[in-house]
Amino acid sequence: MMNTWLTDIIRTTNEALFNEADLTRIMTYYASMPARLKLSEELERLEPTLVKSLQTELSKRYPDRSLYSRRFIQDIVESLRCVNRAVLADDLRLLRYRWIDHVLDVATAANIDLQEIRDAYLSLREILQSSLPRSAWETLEPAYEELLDALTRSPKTLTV
Amino acid sequence: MASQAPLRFKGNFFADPEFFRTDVTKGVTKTPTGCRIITLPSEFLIGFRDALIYECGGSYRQIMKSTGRRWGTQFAKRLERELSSFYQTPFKELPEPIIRTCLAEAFRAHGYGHLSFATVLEHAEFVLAEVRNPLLPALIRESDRTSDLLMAGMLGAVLAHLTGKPLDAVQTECPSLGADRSRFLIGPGSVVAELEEWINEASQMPSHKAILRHLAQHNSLSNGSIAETSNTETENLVGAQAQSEEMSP
Repeated sequence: MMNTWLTDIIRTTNEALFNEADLTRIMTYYASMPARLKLSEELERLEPTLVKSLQTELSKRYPDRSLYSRRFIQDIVESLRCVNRAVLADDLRLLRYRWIDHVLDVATAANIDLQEIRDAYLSLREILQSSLPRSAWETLEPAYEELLDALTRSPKTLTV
Repeated sequence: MASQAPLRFKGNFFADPEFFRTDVTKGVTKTPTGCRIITLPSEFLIGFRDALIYECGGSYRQIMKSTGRRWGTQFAKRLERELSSFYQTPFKELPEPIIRTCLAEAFRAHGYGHLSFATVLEHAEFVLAEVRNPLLPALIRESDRTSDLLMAGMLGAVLAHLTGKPLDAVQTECPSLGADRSRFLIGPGSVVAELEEWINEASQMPSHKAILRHLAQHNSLSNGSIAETSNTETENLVGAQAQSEEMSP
């Protein structure tokens, strides 16, 4: 729950800048901040382990795929920072502009099968589900699913 | 520009809400790497172009393009610096799809329009660049010639810097002439110079297709095998053109 003093500050300093719906959204956001911050801490702590686990998992499942280089795996795990930032800001547009559109553009320009990138994220999802505390995964899940959904869609036809 | 370096996925460097950060106390806007950015309003661009036409007459076109070339070289150097640091790899050594994607992202972030590339004719070393929502053509509503000379110079210089080859660009389609986007052919400087000369000598601005056809003929001539290849080359070009149009949204 949100601190009562913060609730008071928001309500009393709100000089008709926000309507009730805005206020509810703000307070819901602040109420969920501890969970979001906890997720950030967990992801930062887990990052080195995630790289190793994902590398092992991908080489076991897809030994023939040349895309899964050490750097690629590092990039995929580091992309969780973008996902986390979008979760912290409660704004998935950040994830789309910063990460999803870029991946779609590069993959299309390089003729890479998006499914290969998606498979890496699917493997990472399994690792995350078993590594993160349940509440942290639930906080991350909507943004993560948004990312996975985008990788199933047809890439944009106009690319560079 | 092509490289054997592994493909990287580091996200859009420019897609950050604070990429252009303004210090309101100093009145200065900077990028995360400390490069100062200024806003040139439409009034400046139009005023600059009008003053050049007034002061220099017909040679204003060469001056605008030369300005674009100098701008493009500086822009490419900055991009190279910023993105090399971001990727921890020299920018020029990155795989071409990444370089092209980063260029398009930089264009969008700076408000220069929506840039995309397509290969026109592989062995002719020509690339087709398209810019939707370009700068100058949005301000110059009507013209009997292409008006985006700054961008032509800029694109040629950016690709020349990144490839280390003497490249140049010529605009073949322009919103000022009724098109829905600007199109540029980027290729070897000497061939582009000949193309420009041919375009300038024409009584009316030739169409994009006519320019491609002329380029195909030039290509066949310089290969010394007109009779055998000219038709095929022209078909290839038109085919590539059609393919490029299919790529467009």
